[in-house]
Order: sequence, then structure tokens, then C-alpha cells
Amino acid sequence: MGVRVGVDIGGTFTDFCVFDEEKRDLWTMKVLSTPDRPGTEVMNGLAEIEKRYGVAPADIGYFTHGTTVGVNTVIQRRGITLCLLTTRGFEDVLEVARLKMPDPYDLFSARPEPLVTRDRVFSIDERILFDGTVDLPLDEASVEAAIEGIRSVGGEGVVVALLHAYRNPAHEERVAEILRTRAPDLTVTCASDVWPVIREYERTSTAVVAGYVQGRVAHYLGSLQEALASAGVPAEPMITKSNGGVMTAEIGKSACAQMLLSGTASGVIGAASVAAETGAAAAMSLDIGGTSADVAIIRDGTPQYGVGEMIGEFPIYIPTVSVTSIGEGGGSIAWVDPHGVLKVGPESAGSNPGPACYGRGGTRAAITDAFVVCGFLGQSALGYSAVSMRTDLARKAVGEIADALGKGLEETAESIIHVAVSGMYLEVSKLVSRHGIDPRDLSLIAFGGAGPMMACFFARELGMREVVVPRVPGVLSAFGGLIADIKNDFIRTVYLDMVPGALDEIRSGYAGLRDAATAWIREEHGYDGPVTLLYSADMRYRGQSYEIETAIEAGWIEAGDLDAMAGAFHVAHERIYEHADIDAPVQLINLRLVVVGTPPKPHIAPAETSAAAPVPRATVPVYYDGAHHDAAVYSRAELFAGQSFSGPAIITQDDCTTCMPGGFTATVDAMGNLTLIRED
Amino acid sequence: MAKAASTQVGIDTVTLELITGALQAARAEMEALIDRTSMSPFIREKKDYFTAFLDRDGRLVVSTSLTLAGNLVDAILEQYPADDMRDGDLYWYNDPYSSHGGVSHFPDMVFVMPVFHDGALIAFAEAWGHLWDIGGMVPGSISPQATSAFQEGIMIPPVRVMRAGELNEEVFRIFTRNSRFPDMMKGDLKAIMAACSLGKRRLEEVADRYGVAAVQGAFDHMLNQSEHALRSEIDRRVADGDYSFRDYIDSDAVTDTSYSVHLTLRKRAGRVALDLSQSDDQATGPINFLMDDSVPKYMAGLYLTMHDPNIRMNAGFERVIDEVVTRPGSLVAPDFPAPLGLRSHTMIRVNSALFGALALATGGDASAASSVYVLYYLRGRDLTTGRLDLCIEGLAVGFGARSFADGIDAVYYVAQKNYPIEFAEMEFGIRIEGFRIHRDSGGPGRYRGGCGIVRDVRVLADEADLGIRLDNCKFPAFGVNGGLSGRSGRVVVNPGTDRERDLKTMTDGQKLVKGDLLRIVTSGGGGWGSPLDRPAEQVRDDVLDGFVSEESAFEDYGVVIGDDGVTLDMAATMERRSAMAGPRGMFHRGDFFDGSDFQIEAAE
Repeated sequence: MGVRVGVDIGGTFTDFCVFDEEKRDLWTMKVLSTPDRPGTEVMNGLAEIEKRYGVAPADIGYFTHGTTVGVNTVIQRRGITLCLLTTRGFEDVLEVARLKMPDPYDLFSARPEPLVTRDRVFSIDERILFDGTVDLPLDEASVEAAIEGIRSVGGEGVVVALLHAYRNPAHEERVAEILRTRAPDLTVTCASDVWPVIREYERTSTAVVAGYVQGRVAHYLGSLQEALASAGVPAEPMITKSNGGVMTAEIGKSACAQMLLSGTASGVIGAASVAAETGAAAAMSLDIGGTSADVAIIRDGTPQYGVGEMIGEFPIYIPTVSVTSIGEGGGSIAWVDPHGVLKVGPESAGSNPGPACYGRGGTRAAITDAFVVCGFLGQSALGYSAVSMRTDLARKAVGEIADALGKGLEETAESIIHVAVSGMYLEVSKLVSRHGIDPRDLSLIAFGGAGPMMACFFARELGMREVVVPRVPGVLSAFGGLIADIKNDFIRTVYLDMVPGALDEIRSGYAGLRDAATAWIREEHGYDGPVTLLYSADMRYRGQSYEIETAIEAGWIEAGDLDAMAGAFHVAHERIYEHADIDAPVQLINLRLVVVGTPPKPHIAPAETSAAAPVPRATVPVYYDGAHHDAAVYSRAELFAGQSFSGPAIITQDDCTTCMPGGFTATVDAMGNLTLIRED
Repeated sequence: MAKAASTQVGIDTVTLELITGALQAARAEMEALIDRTSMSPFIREKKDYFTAFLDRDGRLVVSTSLTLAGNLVDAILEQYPADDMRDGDLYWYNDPYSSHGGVSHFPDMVFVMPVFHDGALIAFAEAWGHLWDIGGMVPGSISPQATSAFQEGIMIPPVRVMRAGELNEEVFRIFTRNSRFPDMMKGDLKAIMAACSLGKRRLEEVADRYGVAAVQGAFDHMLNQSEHALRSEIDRRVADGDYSFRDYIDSDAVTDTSYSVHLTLRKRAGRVALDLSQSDDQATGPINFLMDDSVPKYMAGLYLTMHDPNIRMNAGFERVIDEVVTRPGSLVAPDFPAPLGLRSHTMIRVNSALFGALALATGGDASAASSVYVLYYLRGRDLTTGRLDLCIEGLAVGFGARSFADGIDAVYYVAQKNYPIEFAEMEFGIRIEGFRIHRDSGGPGRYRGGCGIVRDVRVLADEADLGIRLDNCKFPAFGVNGGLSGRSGRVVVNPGTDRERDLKTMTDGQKLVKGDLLRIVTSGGGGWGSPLDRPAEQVRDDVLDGFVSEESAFEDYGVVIGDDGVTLDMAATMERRSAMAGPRGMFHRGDFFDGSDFQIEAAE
């Protein structure tokens, strides 16, 4: 029996979630991130874990890791000097993009500077047509000329993205071969390798982001492998992916495009497992940190996937757990505008200096300070005793806002909370509306340092009835990595009308995907456990310019049941758009296959039960709804399954505080989740 | 049965912020609903829709920031007095003429739902969307060839399509019978109507929670806020006087005649007027813009208050500008049944004429002109099989430089995306042989105008008809405050061969044959400020990025780049720039001109 460790690196803290397979117990740890020396925090944390829980590196039999090194490389523009090779005539692909303004209604709007400037784009003489036939054979002299160009601009790496290569990658492959021979020092990325899907701008943009971060990510993963090995950790590190799965670090070194949003994705995976435990049919995950809040929709225990998620200013189009990020967190600052109106954010105190109550030099009132003034925070130290609460500083900071508004101190603090929640509501209501969901049917899974603090207020605003605070709300992303499946996505663009003649191509297309998927998980990944293949197809009505990914059954393909495939599309169209046209011709654009390997999951011991009433540690005055109330303070560690209590209450634990006003009743479920039900 | 709710001003600022947030959230939710459930590509891909809340007097309070029209309810109130309105009513129109410009071309379907609280009318929820086909002379309803509104699809005057929740199915049947794609129509109409119901429900919830008085107070506050912001900007930046500017549309697409919009910004003793009465007579072709008075007011309001993110486009702007003068029978006040389908060409010129007037009033502190988005229609025929291919593509242009930033390169009007080449080749029987930035098309300036694009299209069908609307060729987008105009676009067949020929740029029915290469080159935006003041490094970067040629860097910007194509020759640059120094006019189009009225002869 060994120990499993999940690690998630965030901007401020690095989170650890530890599962002891023998005791079937979960432990948590947070250490400060070391952005200047990525990887150091992992070793620091392992040392802390050994000190606190007695886990030796040699005990670690499974290790998962999420990192922001890729996304930070893009945001900070610290990638390599990257070049791009395109089909002649299309060198401006990144500059013309898709024509859309970044923000159509903002008169200050500007296009981001591409990661590859135009002087580093070189053209190749070749042309493949939409059916994969070669119209103009590859002129290898143009590749030689491009290499000279790359040399002249000091290129360190190159992306090859040619027209219609999703259909026939021969030219891209040959160009890459020449590059590897003639310029072996350059990193080479083929767009058809990264994500071979139709739409030239999207495919190129995705490959450019991948090529840009490749060097740094690969270097980082290599150092991590070495550090773990030299510390004596026997496990091969697994890296969490944007699609919510994991892959080996070794694969990650060449597939870094797939791990750019790994942290946010694994948080949603963690939340989805909580939703599955509580049996919520539809849930919203709410992860609030210091500067932002990440929100995602979970249906039947499964996250929703999207394409075109943003990495900094650039979209990538590989399957990614769909997360909406709102620029409001516990550190968002309250201010009064020139018209005398109270505003919160978008400016944030972040973690440094942090809210005034942290006592690290912050003087302006943040949302967290408002919770302090209202009496909900300040009952115990935060962040493994790293931060102690200075209520006096919080009151001073909020007091300045109160003076500007001409209101009382606590009244002002509550107003800050309301305005902050209302700002989040604005973004969340759009998300919910896009999914066509009634928020009252959603269970709110709240985590992150400030999620449980704000969740009840947020739920009241949206009319939600249920809030769930997981066992380990402070490290749920790290936990999500621990329980994630091995997972990879495969796609093939076919562009077929759904007529019987198309069957052969559909069958051979899926067969090709199946071979690739099997080779990936068995050979490349070296996994020999049980495997599931999930089939889907992107379909649309002829004439539409957007597709719907529709799950299909393998049996339909074997039986040649195209009607079943089209039928599934009509149903999906009806569900999303509230209408379908069963007489309209259906087109099949892409075949998709997801391969999932399910290593044995941690079996966490059920929480200890107790029939006794929970015992509060204290009773403190809190302020909300314009009045003072007495709130019971509970320690999360002293709550047992089956126990129940009513608000107002405050539940403290190592890394976060749950604030529950009156009108809510908390229950500890069998797995130790805290469920807060709002009475109507 | 409706009675007026009481109005109370004086509202706690926190409640105000909460109500404002709730209204914005509700409006965004309405948009998301339309986006999710509508069916036609126009609505989904172009985001060609608009949602709003108006107060019980029909004044626009919060809305999408599209300056198309603000008085959306007046025409309904004329036909259906507020006293007779009931909870669950829904009103509908698309007719620009009977709504006095409440909407400005026929494909936009306006729905308005009154919102009640305790039996009293408190507000209106509104949504419109651009429907793909409402009948008319061509699929898609808008044709550059239209000479009468009767060719542009079905006209719906303000009607009550729902009475107290009861849908008038007959009206619906009549309408959908007039579309070539009735199912798509139904889907879209359902989406827009559902958005109104959603907006109504949300507003009711806000009124339940905060009280009607607080909601009315919040409305008044938002209107006052916009009013005060615009008034103080005008007071601060515009001295008393008349500021006039005339701007041109290349043609009306039916004739070769050019048309102009003339705008005078007049400020006298605290009164502000916008006079467009000297604009040209209405056009034969469909560029007529039946302009509601609110349109130029909102354009001025949005532009002058853009630095304050708290200011919303609403009827508060309308109070600051006391008067908008138009002349019946003119381009911006056409008589029925003048065609309106291409009204954007004139609408964008109203905007640039306003910017011209503002530039004169503020010593150049206004954006340069933008070009008008481009659409082309290529109808290919295979003579053996008889197969027809219809290719409709929107193409990007360059936007005008701003007084603080470059104009945006390669952008369609707002949210339209281009068609991916890899799809276009599969579906349209064409091969795209190039898609590039139109180098040097952005007007040179301290801030460069945005560049247009070049699209090379090889005709693969046996024969094809081309229709196109590409403006700003005879009259490129003007530059401001020493900045130069954008470069014109063109449409050319078989460039660089002995069969090269230029085509008209606003036209339809041009014949092409198999193997022809059609090159569409779109126009750029005007520049702002003297190009000699643009930092040489930025000019060099533009050269490296392909937006500016080395020749233009030398000729227009006075920047000398060394033989390696990268290093700046600073000594030569300073010498060149001092040789080029000298007075430059306020405006530029081909040549500098200072006067308010750029003469048509100057361009020809």
C-alpha cells in the first residue's frame, strides 16, 4: 500500500492533496508558490508533508501534477522565438484571424500582438485541396528558403501549418522531416499533429500556442521528473490535462498544448466527483481565489467541454473543460466612483499585499475585509497559520468606504458583499442562460480560498437551494488530479453528407481513430488496465456554420445505422436550440473518439458518524440583512457525518472558512461533504 | 386599465448599483438566450441583435451599444395607447417607415413587451434580431439592386402579436408564408420573443425585490448620469459655433452617382443641434438611411463619453442635443418607398461626418473615418449538371485611427467572423488562392488607420455572376489632424495577366467564367495625426509585420530603413522628416483640406 499525492500549482499557493491508501484518509497541505523557480515548491511541499504526515518520498506510488507554467509562458510572453510556415498566399493568417473585434462594443478595443510576428512567417510553395489531393506538389526549395529566413530572424522553433493538412498531412510531414534534418536545433510543431481539425485559423492558432510554450514546458517537466527521481519518489509523474484527464509527464513533454488549462480543469473534475457523491443531476462549480472566480457547469457528474478557450489573449481549439473566469475574487477592491456609487473590482489586492486584514501593507478594503467587518472572518488563522487576521485593519479600510458613502461601518461591509455578489451574478447569469439551465436546479459546489466564504450569499442571489462545501475545499484541484482518468482526444475531419454512401468513410475513419487511440494508451502511455472508448460526431444541418458534438454508440457504426446518428443529432439540436428539423439534410463534419483509462480510484473512508448534536466552539456576533445575529462557530474537524445545524454559523478549517447566514441548514453527509440547504 | 406608477427620485447608491447590475445581467441574459436558440446564421454568427429596457415613457435606459435607433416604443404607443396595454401583450414591427426609423431596414424584427407591477405599467422589455429571409427580390431579402422598399420583403407595421399572453397565430402564418425559409424564421422569431418574456420576468423580479420606486429612481439616475456626462463633455470640448462636414458614399449600387451626408454641429448659448438638412437627396438604390433622431445623438454620446465605463448609451444623451434637423426626401430622411437594404453605407458616413464636425470643434480630437464592411455574392453555374453554387461572404475592412490608438486592422462591422477558407472551398465551388492584409491601405498617421484585406478567389464553376458592395473606393476613408486617408479598395479580374480588368465596386450581375481569378481588395481606415510623429520603431515594426511597405515608410512616414530591412537609419530618418515637415491640413483625402466641405471634384 502506498500514498498518492496530487499537486496543483497556483499563482499564490501550491496545493497538495495526499491520500493514504492504507488509512484511506485525505490530508492537505499548502505552500507558497515559487514562480521564479518553478518546481521548487513541489519539493518544498513534499518536505512539509513528510514533516507533518510522515510520508516519505519512497511511499509515493502515484503522483499527479497540474501546473500553470504553460499558460504563464503565454501571458508573460516568455516563450521561444517562434516562426511559422504557411502555404504561400496565407502568410497573414494570424493577423487577419477571423475578423472579429476583441470586444465589439468597446471603443478602446485592440487586437493582441500575435505570438509570431509577421516577419517570422515564411511561405511554402505547395497546395493541397479540400479532398486531400495535391494541386501543387511541395517545392522543397521553398523549405530551404524558409530555413534561411528562420536563421535570419534567430528563430528557435517553428510551427508548420499548411492548408487542408487536417485532410492530408503529407506536406506538413515532409516539411518537418526536412527541418529536422537540416536544422535539428529547431523545435518543430506540425498543426496537423497538435489538433487536425478543419478551420485554418483555429488550427494554426492552437499550434502556435503549443509551439510557443513547448520548450519551457518540456524543460519544466524534465526537471520535475529529475527532482522527483532524485528525491526517491518511485511514481512516474502524471500531468493533469485541460480535458480533465491525465497523461504521463513523458508524453506531456511533447503534448504540452493539452495541459495549458490543467489546473482549472482538475478543479472542475474534483467538483464533478463531489456532485456525483451528492447525487446532484446538475451542478455549478464555483472556485474563488484571490483575484478571480472560475465557474463551470456539471451535468450528471460530467463537466461540460468547450473549444476556443482562451490562453491569455489567444484561443486554442482542443477539447477543454469549459470554465468561465470572472475577474472578481476575495482580494477584489471596493471603491466609490465619482458619482458616489459603490463599486467592487476589477482591481484586486491579490495575495500581495492582499486584503487589509492580512496586515501585509494592504490599505484598501477588499471583499475579504468586508467579511471580516461583518464578523464572519477573523475567528481563526487562515492558510495553515500563514496569515493571521487583523480585524482592526479591515475595519479601518472599510471605514474609509463607509465615510465616502455616509453609511455605517457594518452596513457598508454588507453593501460591499452585495455589490460583489451582484457583479458575479452578471457573468454567471449569462453562462447559465447559454446552457439553458434554471439556476434553482443547480447544486453549487464551492471551493477555493474564498469560495465557501461567499457561496451562501451567491446562492441567495441566484435563487439556488443547495450549496456543497467539499471535504477539502482549499485543495480541490489537487484532489481532482488524484482521481482523474487517463484520457486523450482524437479527431478526424470528414465532411460528409449523411447518406448511405458515406458509411465506408465513416467506418474507416473511426477505425483509424481507434487504432491511434489504442496505440496511444497502450504503447505510448504504457497503461494496461481497463479502457473505454467514447464515440462522438460533430454534425450540423447543411448550411449551418456551426456543429454540435453529439455522442454516438459504437454499435450504430457497426450496424451502419446512419439514421440513429442523425437522430441523435436532431435530439441534441432540440435540446440546445429548442427546435429541430428532421427533414433537413444533416452533414457530418468531424469524427471524434475519446480514449479513457481508469486506474483504480482512491477509496476514501466514509466520514465518522455521530448522533450527538455538534458542539460549537464559540458564539460570535455577525452582521447581515441589516441586523446583528449570533453565529455559532464550528470547527470542520470536529463535525461528523449525520450532524446537522442551522445558520447563522461559521465553519472554520485549515484553509478556508464557510460563512452561513440564517435561512440555511447545514448537514454533514456520509462522505464528509458539508451540504447547506436554503429554506424557501 | 394601466395606471401610471409613481416616480420617486432619490435613491440609495448601493441599491442603485444593485439595480443597475441586475438590469445589465437581465439584458445580457436576453442576448444569450437569442444567441443560443436562434437558428439563422445572421443572428448567431454576426451577433446581429439588440436587447434593451425602456422606461414606461419609452425612453431607452439600458441596451446593446449599437447606434441604430433608440425610439423603439413610440410607434407602438401611437397605435396602442399605454392605457390599453395589458400584462402579457407583445408588440411587433419591422417597418422603418411606419415606425419613423424605430428600425432602419426591414430584416430587423422588433418585439416589445410592456412590463407591469401591481397593475401599473413600469417599463418595456425590447429585443430585435436580423432575420435571414423575409421575402423580397432575392434570397436573403437585401439586394444592392433594389429600387423600392416593395422589393425588400414583407412590411409589418406595429401590430399586437400577443394579447394578455394569447398569441395571434394568424399574423404569424401570414408572415412565415412570406419567407423562403419559414422554419428558420419561426426558430428565430421564437428566440426573440422568448428573450422579451425573459426580460419582462427579470424586470418584475427586480421590481418585487427593490420596489417600483427604486427601479424608477434607478432609471432616472442612469438617464441623468448619461445626460450629465455628455453635457459636460460638450461644454468642455466644444466652443459655440457651427462645425460642418460632408462625407461621401461611392454610389447607390444601382446608378454610378455618388451621394453625400452633410452634418453641422451647431452650439449656441447652451443649445446643441445636429443639422443634416444639407445632405443629398434620397438615392435610387438602397443606401437610404431612414434615420431616427436618436441615432446621431447616440453616436455623439457614445464617442464623447467613452472614457467613462459607467456611462451607458441611453435616452439621457437625447436630452443634451436639443435638435436633429433633417430634410424630407433626403438620404437620411427618405420618402416611402425608397429602398433601405444597404443603409449601413450611409449610417457609417453619418458617423464619420459627425467625427469630422467634432474634429473641427475640438482641434482634431476625433477618430478618422472607417471603411464600410464588404459583402460579395458569387453565383456559380455548372453548365453540364446545372448545379448552382451561391457563395455569400462578408469581408473585412480597416477602421479609422483613433486619437489615442491605431485603427483596427481587418475587421467586419462588429462581430461577424469570416468564412474559413477550408470550408469555403468545400462548399462554394471556388478556390481561395490568397488571403492577406492589404498593405499600405491603413491611412498613415501618428496613429495608423486599420488595413483592409485582399481575398483572391478562383472561379471553378463554368460561369458565375458577381454582386458586390465595396465602398470607399472613390472616396477613401479620410484622415484627421494631419493623418492621411486610407487607401481605396478595388475589384479586379485576372490581375497581372493580359486579361486583367477592373470591375465596378458597388454593382451586381458582373459575368465571370471558369478559371477567372477574382481579386477583392478592401479599403483601409483613415490615419490620425502626422505620420512624421509616429515613432520610427513602430513604423519599422509595421514594415516587418507587412502593414506598411518600405516605400510608404519612406514616402509617407519619412522613415529610412537600412539595407538589411530591419535596422533604422535614424540620421537619414531625421533628415527626411525635417525635409517633409510643414503645415498639414485638418483632413486628408488624396490631398489635405481644411474646409468643412470636401468637394467632390477633389477626388476625381
